[in-house]
Amino acid sequence: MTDAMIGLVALPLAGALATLLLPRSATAVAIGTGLATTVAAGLLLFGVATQGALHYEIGGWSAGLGIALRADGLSALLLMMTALVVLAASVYASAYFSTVSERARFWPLWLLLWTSLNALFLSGDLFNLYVTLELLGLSAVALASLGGKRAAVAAALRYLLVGLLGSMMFLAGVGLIYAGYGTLDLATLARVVEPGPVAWPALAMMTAGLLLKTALFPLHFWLPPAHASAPAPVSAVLSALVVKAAFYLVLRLWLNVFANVVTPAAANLLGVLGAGAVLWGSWRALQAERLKLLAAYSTVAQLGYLFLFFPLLLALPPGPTRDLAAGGLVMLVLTHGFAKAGLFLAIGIIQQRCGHDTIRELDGTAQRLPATTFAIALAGVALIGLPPSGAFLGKWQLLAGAVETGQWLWLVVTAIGSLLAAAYIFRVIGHAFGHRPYPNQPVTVAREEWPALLLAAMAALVLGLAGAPVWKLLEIGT
Amino acid sequence: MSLILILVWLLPLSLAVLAGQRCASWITLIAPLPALLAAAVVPAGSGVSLPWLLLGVELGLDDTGRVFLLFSGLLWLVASLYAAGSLASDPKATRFRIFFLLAMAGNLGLIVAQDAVSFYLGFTLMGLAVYGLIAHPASQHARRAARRYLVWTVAGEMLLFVAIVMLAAQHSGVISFSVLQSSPPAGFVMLLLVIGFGIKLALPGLHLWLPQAYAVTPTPAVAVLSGAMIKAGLLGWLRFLPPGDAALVSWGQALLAAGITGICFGAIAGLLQRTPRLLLGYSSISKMGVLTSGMGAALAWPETAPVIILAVVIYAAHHALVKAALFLGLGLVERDGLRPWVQAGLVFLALALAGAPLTSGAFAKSVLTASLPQGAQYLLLLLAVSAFATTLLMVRFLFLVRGMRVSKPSPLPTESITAWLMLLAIIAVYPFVIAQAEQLMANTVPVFLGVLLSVLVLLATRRFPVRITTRPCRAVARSLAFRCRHGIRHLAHQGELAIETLRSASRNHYERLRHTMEHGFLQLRRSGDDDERWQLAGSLWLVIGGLLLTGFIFIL
Amino acid sequence: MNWDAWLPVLVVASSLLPGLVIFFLREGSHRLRTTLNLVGAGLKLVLVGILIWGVFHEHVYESRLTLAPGLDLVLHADTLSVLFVTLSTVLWLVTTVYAIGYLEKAPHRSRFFGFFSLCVSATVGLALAGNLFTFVIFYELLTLATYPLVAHRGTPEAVRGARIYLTYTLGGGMLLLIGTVWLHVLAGPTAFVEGGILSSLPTAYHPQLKMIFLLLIIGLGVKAALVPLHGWLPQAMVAPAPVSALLHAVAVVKAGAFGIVRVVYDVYGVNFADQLGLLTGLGIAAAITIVYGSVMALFQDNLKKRLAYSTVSQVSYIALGTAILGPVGTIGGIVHLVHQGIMKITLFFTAGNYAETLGIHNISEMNGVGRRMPATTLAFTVAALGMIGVPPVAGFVSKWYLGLGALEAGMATWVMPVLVTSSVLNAAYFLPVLYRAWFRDPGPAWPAEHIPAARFETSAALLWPPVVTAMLALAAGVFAAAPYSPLEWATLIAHREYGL
Repeated sequence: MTDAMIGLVALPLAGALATLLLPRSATAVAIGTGLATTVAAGLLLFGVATQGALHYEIGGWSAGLGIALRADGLSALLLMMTALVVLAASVYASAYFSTVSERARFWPLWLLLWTSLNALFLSGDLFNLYVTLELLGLSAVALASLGGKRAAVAAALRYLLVGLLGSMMFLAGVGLIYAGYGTLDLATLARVVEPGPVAWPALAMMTAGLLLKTALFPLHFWLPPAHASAPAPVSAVLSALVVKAAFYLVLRLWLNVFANVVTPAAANLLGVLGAGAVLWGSWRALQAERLKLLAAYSTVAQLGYLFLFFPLLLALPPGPTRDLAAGGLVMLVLTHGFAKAGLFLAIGIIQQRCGHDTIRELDGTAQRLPATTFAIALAGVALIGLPPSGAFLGKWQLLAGAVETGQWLWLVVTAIGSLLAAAYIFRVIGHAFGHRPYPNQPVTVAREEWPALLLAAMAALVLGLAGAPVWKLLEIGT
Repeated sequence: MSLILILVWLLPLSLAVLAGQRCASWITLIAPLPALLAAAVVPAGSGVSLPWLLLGVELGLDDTGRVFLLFSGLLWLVASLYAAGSLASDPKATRFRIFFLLAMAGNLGLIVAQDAVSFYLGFTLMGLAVYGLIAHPASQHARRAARRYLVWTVAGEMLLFVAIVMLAAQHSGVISFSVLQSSPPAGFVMLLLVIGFGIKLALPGLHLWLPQAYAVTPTPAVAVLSGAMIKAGLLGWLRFLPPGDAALVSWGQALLAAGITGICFGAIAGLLQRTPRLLLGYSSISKMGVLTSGMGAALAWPETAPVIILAVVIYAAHHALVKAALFLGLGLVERDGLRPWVQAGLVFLALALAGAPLTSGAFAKSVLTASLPQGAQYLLLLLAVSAFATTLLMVRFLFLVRGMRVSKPSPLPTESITAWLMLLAIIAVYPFVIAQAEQLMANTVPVFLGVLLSVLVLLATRRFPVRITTRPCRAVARSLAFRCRHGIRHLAHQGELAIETLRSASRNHYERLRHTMEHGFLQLRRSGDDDERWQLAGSLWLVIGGLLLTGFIFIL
Repeated sequence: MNWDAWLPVLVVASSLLPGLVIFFLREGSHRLRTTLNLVGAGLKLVLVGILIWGVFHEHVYESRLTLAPGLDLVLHADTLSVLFVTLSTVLWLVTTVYAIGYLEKAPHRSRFFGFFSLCVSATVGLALAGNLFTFVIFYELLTLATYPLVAHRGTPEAVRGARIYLTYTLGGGMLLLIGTVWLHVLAGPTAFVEGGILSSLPTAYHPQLKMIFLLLIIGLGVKAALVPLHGWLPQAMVAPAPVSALLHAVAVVKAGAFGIVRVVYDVYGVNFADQLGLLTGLGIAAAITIVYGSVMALFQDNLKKRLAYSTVSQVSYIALGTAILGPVGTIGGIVHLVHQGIMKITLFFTAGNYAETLGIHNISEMNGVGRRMPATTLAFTVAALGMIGVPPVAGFVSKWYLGLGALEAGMATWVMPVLVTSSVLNAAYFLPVLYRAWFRDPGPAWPAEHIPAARFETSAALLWPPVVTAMLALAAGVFAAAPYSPLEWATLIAHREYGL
């Protein structure tokens, strides 16, 4: 299984180099790499499920000096999600980009992004995390600016600045930790970290930096413009995976490493910010004129839900109820990842076919693309949190946790947020119903529409109905 | 046996489907035959139980039922024959026939019913089907009369529904009459039963539907309506109120009072009428008063109840046949004017209704007089007064009939003539079959006095013409009704206005709130240019970082 | 193969799978689509027959899927679910035939029938739900499946009506979800057990249980059209007639009422609910709705709107029956679930017939229609008389049991006037329609005669469904005391609930 871990980092990296060197057959190479990496992720998941948490030290150097790769239930799940989403988006992208030059620039960066994501999820120490985080940010920025237009470049630049600020803050925190404890290994730190003048500012700085990168309200301002001009597969991955990586880091730090440093007050702060994200993001999504902006603000809102879990997790005593809530959180992460990716891919199809993505002028265009509309509908179901999507189970746990701990505010916020989400999703779907009759064949471009459909179906159906193993997997911790 | 009882109502019901066929008029004739057969053949006390039908149906025939079935079946037969002739030229005959058959099924069905729910079923079916008969002529007058009838009938049926549910609750869900009659109904239930059936029987105050309904309904229908169907109210009381129970004495007295009022009111109002049909209607009200008084007497003197009830039933049968025949004869006059033989028949019927000797009226009256208990001598006086008043009424009726002018005479169909003559024959003959000699000689004095008074009045009016009018009462009633309706509509309109005002006010408030909020948000969004935004974002970020730190340090 | 565990799933799948296939069919493939629909409906009927037999003989049919620790998706067949499943299946078959005729030349038929099948699958799943969690899932799925049906025509009014529908139902669904989660936290997995499971909870929880009940009833009451949550119903009338028929007789409104029945009987238990004083509130809400719906119906000229308000009023009889303590009242409420379904679907079918054949949408246009379309108007008459409560149509039986139950429970002083007022109001708004149809002469021409008078008054697919359902309504009343009638089944349910 360690081969799988290595493969997850090495394969995409090799693929990136290969596509750089062989621009003509870049697509084939990329898809091939994608498949191989997905298989590796599957093997890893299987390995973690059967053997428990996995650990590998590169080059035999033990903790303290060397780079360790760690995989537990959470990271295995996120790796699997990453693999599936990126694979689907790759298939989509192979049809999306028409010119060779576009492809030549796209694939290497894309695979590099994938490498950094995988490496981040597998990292076992803080410095590694910083490196992969930085790499992730840079490749994301580069991909976001692929649109070439002025607006795209401006947005990408803003993203770059914000990202650099965030990672620098993170690095500062890492440095403080190293100075205080002499080690950067996550497992070791989890044992030795104590509340004190070292841990507090370190965690505060790291969290602040990560909050910037995860676009939590009110620090989300860079996200919508970056989405608005990025190509569709890039938006998909940006919303579904990149911001999740930063969130994953916050989760790891708060729940695993600095578990005895965090306080309910701080958690409440995150909760309040999350509530603000839910309400503000949903409200702005409702008012969006363009589909891409709608989806971007929806991401802001959905991330808010994730942060609502923090006060609950801290208020619940360790035990089965807490594990249930944590599982719900992960379920939401997974569902949103698939759903948002599917949504962006579908929006991309609409943008390509109709030349615009203005919501008001969708009348009739949705009629010509029934499969795409269906994908949007499915993704919408998952975003609203209606059954049988995985998000329903996640929201259930959120509500249950709120009731259990008596924190009714989060319950109200979730309810309002869900209703607002329903409002903005159905606003779009409402335009799908028109007088004009259908084309004869529902699917027009298979390579573009099937990935969108499958991703959305994954979120709306598979995770909801077959999601019970998620909780079992999460019990396998480092 | 059981099959016949089922066919009594099933046959008319199923034949209603065939009402559109060419030989439909003959089909209608077959429909009442099972009823007559059942009345003749089915032994008393036998019954059939169908537990899977409705809520558990029980059918059977006792003595009362037999008499009812006999005269009702007979009337429906005669009316069908009459209708076969009179409907021949009617384009909407099919519709009439359907409702006719449905009403027949309901009427005959409720007579053989031995449980409350099937009784109610027949009663409701009959009540609703009669609407179709009243509304058959397409005139404005008919429509209004039918609507008024419907309102009263539906009200009565609702009250009866409540009554039988309460009765069933009193007996833990059982609905068969044998069980329901084992104990007297509670006070409120009694009230509902009296009013509910009283509407059908046209008690004074509850009679308002009757006169206009009788005025517009086609002849064969009004014959059965006044003859057989109105008596369903009486049958209802007989079935639901256990006679011979001491607890109902005060109710009996109340019914007695209501009956007396009915007799007087019917007679006086009838005398003031100017159309024969309306006069016959009020005469019916008066006669129903007699029946009500009889019922009241039966309840008030429980020891003699069975005898009184039998007498009341015989009286009901007599009235049914004679009143139906009067209407049929009137129908003949309305078609082709007053022929001498028709006039002779009408005179005979008038005498019969008044109770002249040697008629069925005398027989019925004497049976009733004989049945009255010892302590109720004033009732004998009452009956005598009733006979006197009826005589006056009948004379006036004959007088009005003589003065009738027919606008478009049409030849009399043979079927109708046959039907009427048949009925006349039966009315003439049956008293001699079942009565004893002295019973036929009763009632001479009141009738004689009545005839005397009428002759005097006739002579007097020839010398001093006088006009009586009922118009002021009617005008007052109409304006009252109009004002009530107008008031209700005005109230409803005001209510609607109020709701609308409230709604628009809240909508305005909501719009204003929404506008303010949107404006506020817009301001928030458009906060300055890029530089300002960076400053805002940056400061927010620092604040958050600081708060996090504070959160860690100070565990609140 | 453990058939007992698969049967409930198969019942749901028998309409789900054809529905999914129909989505991908081309517009022109009528025959294949019709075949799939009818085969699915027939298969479901057979499976439901097996289910009825089994449940009657106390077999246990249960399918279970664990979605998350402590959250199981359970499909379980008990007497009450079998009642609702049978009603849904039979009426779905009839409505499918009707829809095939109604949408003869309409566009987007594949989409329509696809969502139609999904809607029925959701209803059947809801009926077979074995715990509150599963119920909530199918409740929301029902909302999702019916939204495209309401918006089918695509006109601005249709989309607007659908949006209002969605606002109400999603809001209600959210409240239902919150109540369910809360209950889950307090009492663990809330399986449906006859007699309820909450009576064993400590008294300290009682205030919370009352609050939860309120949330649940409001959430369910939106679909069940309790006043003031009924606002979506008249707006949803823009949907094509088969959709209105299905929504108002079988799927959506009944789902809400069914949910209320489930919550009171199988979650709280009727005795416990009475102890907490919850039944009175429910009864009052039901009574207000009954009267309000009837009053509003009086003022409508549009036939479908009048029928919509009539539905608002009639469905609350079920809630009223639930609020009456005692087996008789229970029987009345539960049997009205079936009776109202059959009668209301007949009325909507006939309304659709008038619109499709003659272009009649308003009552003022209905003069003399009885002569032109006698069979349809006869079906309308039978169903209308049933609504008023005239024996022997089925509605009388329900009212009888409700009245009797109220008397036995000592609640007669306010229930009886409500019943009587409602019957009188029903008569007041149905009888004039009947009068117009049968006794008035028709105008010079019908508004828009789409289907000319031929051998039959309208096309066969439009004619037979209302006739069949009218006959069913009559049979349900006439043969009410016969074995296997809805009344007998309701009695069985009530006896098992009260442990008799």
